[in-house]
Amino acid sequence: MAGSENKQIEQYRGYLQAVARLQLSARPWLAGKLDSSDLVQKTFVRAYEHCEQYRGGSDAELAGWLRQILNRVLANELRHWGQARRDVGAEQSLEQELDASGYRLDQMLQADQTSASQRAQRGERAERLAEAIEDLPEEQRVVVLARHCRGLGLQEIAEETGRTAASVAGLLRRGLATLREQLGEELS
Amino acid sequence: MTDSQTRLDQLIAELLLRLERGEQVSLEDFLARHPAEALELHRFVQDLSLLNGRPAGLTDCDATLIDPAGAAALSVSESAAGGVVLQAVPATGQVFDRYELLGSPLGTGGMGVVYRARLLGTGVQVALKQLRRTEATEQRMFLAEIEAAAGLRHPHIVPVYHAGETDGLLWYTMALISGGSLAERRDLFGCAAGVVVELMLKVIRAVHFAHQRRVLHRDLKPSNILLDEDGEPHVADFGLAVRLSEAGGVATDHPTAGSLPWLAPEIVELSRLSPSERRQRSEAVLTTAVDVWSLGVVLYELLTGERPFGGTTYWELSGAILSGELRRPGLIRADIPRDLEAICLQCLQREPGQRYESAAALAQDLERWQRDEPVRARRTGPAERLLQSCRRAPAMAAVSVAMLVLLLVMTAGYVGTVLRLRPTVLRSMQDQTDYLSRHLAGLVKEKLRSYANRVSERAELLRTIPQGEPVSAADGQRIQQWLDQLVTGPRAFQNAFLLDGEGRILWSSRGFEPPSDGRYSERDYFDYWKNHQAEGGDVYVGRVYESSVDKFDKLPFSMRIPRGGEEFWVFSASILTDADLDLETGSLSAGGNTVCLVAEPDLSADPDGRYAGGVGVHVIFVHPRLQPGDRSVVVELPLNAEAAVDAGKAPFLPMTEYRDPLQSGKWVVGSARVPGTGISILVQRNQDTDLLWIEGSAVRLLLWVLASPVSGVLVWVFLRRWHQWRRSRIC
Repeated sequence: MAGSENKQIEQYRGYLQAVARLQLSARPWLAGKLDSSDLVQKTFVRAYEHCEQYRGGSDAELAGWLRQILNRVLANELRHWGQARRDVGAEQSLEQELDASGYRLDQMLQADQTSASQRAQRGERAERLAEAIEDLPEEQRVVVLARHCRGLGLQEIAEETGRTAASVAGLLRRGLATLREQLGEELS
Repeated sequence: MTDSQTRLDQLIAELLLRLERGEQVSLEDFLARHPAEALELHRFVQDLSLLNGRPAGLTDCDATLIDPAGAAALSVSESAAGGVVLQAVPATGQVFDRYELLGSPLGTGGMGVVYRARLLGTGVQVALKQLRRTEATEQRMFLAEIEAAAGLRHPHIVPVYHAGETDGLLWYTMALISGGSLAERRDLFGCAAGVVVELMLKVIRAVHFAHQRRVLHRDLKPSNILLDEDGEPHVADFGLAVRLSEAGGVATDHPTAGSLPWLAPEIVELSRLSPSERRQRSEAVLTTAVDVWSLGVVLYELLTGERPFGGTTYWELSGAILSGELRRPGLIRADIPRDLEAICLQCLQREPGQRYESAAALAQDLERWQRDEPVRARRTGPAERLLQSCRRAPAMAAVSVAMLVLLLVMTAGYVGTVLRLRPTVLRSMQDQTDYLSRHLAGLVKEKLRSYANRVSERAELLRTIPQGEPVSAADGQRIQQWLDQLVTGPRAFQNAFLLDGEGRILWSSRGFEPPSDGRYSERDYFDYWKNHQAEGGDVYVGRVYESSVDKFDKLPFSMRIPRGGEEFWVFSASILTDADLDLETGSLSAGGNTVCLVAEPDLSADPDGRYAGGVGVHVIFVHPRLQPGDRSVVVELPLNAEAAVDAGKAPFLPMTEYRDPLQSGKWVVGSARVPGTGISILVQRNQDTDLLWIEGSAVRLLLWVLASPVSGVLVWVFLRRWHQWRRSRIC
């Protein structure tokens, strides 16, 4: 990857930063232990080291590749902090789980929009989404991210948070409503 | 938190939990059941879809519920009762998703509506199919249809371009095939068989393509075969398509769906069972044989212009299909080739196992028909197969037939020439033998004259014996001496004797001892002189007689010896019939000729009755095959009546098929009488000597003509075997 492409990767810094923040927000027990900027920096170092492995062409593929590296970095950190067991289902590898949640985040971030203007806005929008989510009251944020980032079901969230299904549903409803108010224009 | 919010959250929880359990929930129904919370529920569902892009976000949610873009088009209106009526309102001339719907629907089916649509911002026109129903089962089937059709990229399957969900309606777009469906093209029903087969082959290949990808169409019929501007067919409407399992069967909620006139009997049978039995048996019943049946029905329709099974009501029609009784296509239209008819009937076998095992097998058989090869569906006789191979390679067949005809014509011409030539050849042979026999007759006469001269000499001597008185002993001795001299030396006679006027032998040559009381006045050599007293001159060459003494056939030479007054003696000397007369007939017989002498027999000297028979009976007394000591041979020859009047004519009629008793073969015979005698000369020429080369060559040519097709067939059989053997080795 030549210099111009380094520059191209740089365009994804904001996007990756947002993904990292959301991944961490979705896992409140990691709060204070890991820093999103730190994760993104490590991701970029790795990306430069391994840029010759990258063969994809499209914007979405490049974003996906970077997200995969981020997930690998994150998985390493989680193992380091002894969180692997807690975060991972018995039948699901840590990286697969992170990939799945990363993919869901991408859905949120509309990463598959490929027009040049959209791509340019990606980082910005991602950051705003991350900010909006982080601005949510903690209870709502946890529920929204558990569902939309980690892909948990209502019942699972209820068990994890020790609430009733209806109360989780209420948190979800209000959280989503707030997000729509903040971001509705862009996302729809 | 208000009660209403608690109630709303409970409903949201219920909805989400149901969806998470995999239930299909109709938003329409759900909202209708909770009209008080409908608006807020609907808003939540929209919010929920905010963070999930399409369509991956649909994984944990029911498809109809989540579509951010759908909000605008869903008309949510509060009814008078305060409830919510959720209704899809797609209309023509309206923008739907990223398409503009053009004109009224192209078609409306049980489940969906098809519009002509234009991709916004472009001139691209497509066909857009919407599902009009929101029941989970229908939606599942619609998704299955999209999945089945989208997975099939084939030049004769309508391609799917795009799919999505808008305004709560599932839809997909596909190529716009503008030529209408086959069902609308009545001109193609009952048209030329070649055209039908050409069209159907494309359809069948496309169906096989789908089968190979485990997609069973289940609803093949003319209205689902679309034609483009070029008349190329495209299989459409995979609305009932199901996926085949590994074993070839399939499980589906609607095993008996389909259009009855094209429905295979096993499915009709299934539809008469109870629902539970249906489910049990559906997997075994739904196989590719179902599509093969439908293709057979379409083929039948196209060939004959009529459907194979009739009936105005459901029960009549299904009864006809189950009975399996149908009219042979050839009974409807006599000009339908029998092979095509058989192919058609093979598809419409009552038992699935007896149909073509695949659509490809059906296509192959139709292609065989196109190539004029024997089809699998019908066994044909060798003559028909020959005719087919002639149609397959007309140039080759024409050349072969031309060669064969040429060969036959040439042979026939040659044989004809030979047959015409035959009488000419025979006539010329006849002329040759006639000429030769006349020529030889003179020669024989000379030879006989030399014998006659000796007899004449002795007769002169005998005449010197004094007449009118008994012969003295000295004269007797002289006579004895004269006679004995005749049977020795060159031109020796076999015997010589002197008879008195009563036919008694007075003296005979040495070694010849006739009985003393023998009387021979009836013998021709004696009898002649009784009637020819006046003629004293020439020696008489008499008829051949069989000697009563030694049983030999002999040719006598006799002369009258006057003894004064009425008294006379007859002097006779004979030669054996096998004497060659120094003619060297052997050498004359060279060059395919046989020369022989025949003589009239003396009927008075025939103790064994050998001479009995017709007037033409003759004795062969000189013949190259006749050895000394052999008994002479009697032969009957056709007398020439003209010869009785004109001695110069041939004594016998011309013969071309003469059977020589002494040698084989057919002979052309020319004859001539030795003047002044009862002896004739025969010149025989074997037919073969002149006919064999021309007739033989004709026969050889005929054999060749017969052998060449036979050897051709043998070579062909050998090559075929060899090819099969090689092919079996490669496989």
